[in-house]
Amino acid sequence: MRWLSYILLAYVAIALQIGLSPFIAYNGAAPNLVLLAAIFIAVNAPRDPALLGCFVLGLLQDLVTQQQPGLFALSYGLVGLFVVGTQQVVYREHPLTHFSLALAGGLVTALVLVLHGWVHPPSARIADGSTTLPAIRPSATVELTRVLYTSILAPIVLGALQRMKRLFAFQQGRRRVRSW
Amino acid sequence: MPIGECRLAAFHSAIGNTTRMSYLRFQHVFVGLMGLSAVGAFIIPPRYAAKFQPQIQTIFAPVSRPVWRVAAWATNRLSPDINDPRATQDIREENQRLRAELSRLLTQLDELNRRDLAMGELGQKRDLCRLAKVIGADAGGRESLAIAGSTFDGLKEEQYVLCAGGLVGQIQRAGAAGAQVRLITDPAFHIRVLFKRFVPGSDPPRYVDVGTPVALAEGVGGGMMVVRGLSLSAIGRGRDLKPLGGQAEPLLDQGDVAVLVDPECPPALKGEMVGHVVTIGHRHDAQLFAEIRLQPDVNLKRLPEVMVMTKEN
Repeated sequence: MRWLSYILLAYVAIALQIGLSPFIAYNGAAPNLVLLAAIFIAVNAPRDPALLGCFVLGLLQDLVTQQQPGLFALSYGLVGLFVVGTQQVVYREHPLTHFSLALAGGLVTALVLVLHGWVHPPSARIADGSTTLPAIRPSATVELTRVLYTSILAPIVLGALQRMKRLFAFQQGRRRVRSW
Repeated sequence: MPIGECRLAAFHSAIGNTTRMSYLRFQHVFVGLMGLSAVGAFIIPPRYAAKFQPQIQTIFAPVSRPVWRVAAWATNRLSPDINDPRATQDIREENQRLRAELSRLLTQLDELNRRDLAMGELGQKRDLCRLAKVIGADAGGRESLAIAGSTFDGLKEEQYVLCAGGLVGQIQRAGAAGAQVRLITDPAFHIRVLFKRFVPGSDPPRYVDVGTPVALAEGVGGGMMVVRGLSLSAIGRGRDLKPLGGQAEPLLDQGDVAVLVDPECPPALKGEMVGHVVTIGHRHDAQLFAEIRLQPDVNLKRLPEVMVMTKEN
């Protein structure tokens, strides 16, 4: 894999995520463009670079969010493991593949985020005078809306990225093995 | 075994061993990284984990700022972002009164300028603040803003952030290449507020205390805050949410505003607008308590720039 192209993709995906999300959010749920970039890498790149690429994308996203550091790195690492495992059985160019991988990847990410929200709620139980106010936890509905929104966008975004995949030289590593 | 088959077996064996070894090594590293991230995410308390987080928000500004501007322009053209519950007629009347008030104040200001008295007073809050451009919103599901300010500009954790519409939030992390602002609508944010009502008929128009006690407002995400600590009777409502004791209207109603009264805030911030009441209902886990939803007057996630209060007095 060509790492310069990967760095550019990561940069643009995160910049678009933070620049666009308030304007394209639906009911408080913005699509996760970085997840789509991670899926693109995972579905095309050889196993090791794919896993590393997904993990680093999550790590970078962790730096520009208020979530606990490590959450997105862990989520995208798991998504990477899942998508890399399906590389041989999916048709990479098909929109349905893009939709289903984004749906599955989004569900994995949502599961990690919601689970984290339940274990460590952003606002813990708090005492207000004589009243105890229960903890505020992230809404699973918002996360599911985000998953659906991202999945619907996936065929468009991943379709466009698939057309540019030559820039990433994904097959280089494999070709070397075959020729040897 | 024929020579050809022997060579093939050796070749496969060599490839198999090499590949297995390299996967094994990479897998060790990957499992280690995943383990570290899991520990960071689930075990280390957030306040410690955030300390080791580098701030790189400004790096994304060359792409995110232009994208932000274009998206804001397009959004404003297609669907103007107005969170105003007032009727058009009320707004017209209020505008008329405010115009009159503005005219009166401008006259006074001219007078004060002539006497060279009021400038210090007028510019007080401005002098305490530093302007910072917004780079983007939160990359995850939380409510925060990435801003182009750094510790070199005097930004520190816990400093308050303002805009023309009132309180925006608090600096959560600040570093050499950016800072992250926790918005007041983020679930981790809470602050004490007092409810006030705009009295348009009075001369001059003013905000009066509605008579409810000071309450804790908490962010709940989705651009909203919630007050859960007030009983229904404290806001002048019965179990059916109707006004108590046959009164025409309850103490607290939709459109009333919440202003900052938190004792931990700098004195210059007291009275700063937090939001207005959007809905009043029952708390689902305590039916005798109210759940009052507040919304800031502007969409905080779409602000182009904010003021960071770098000095307290």
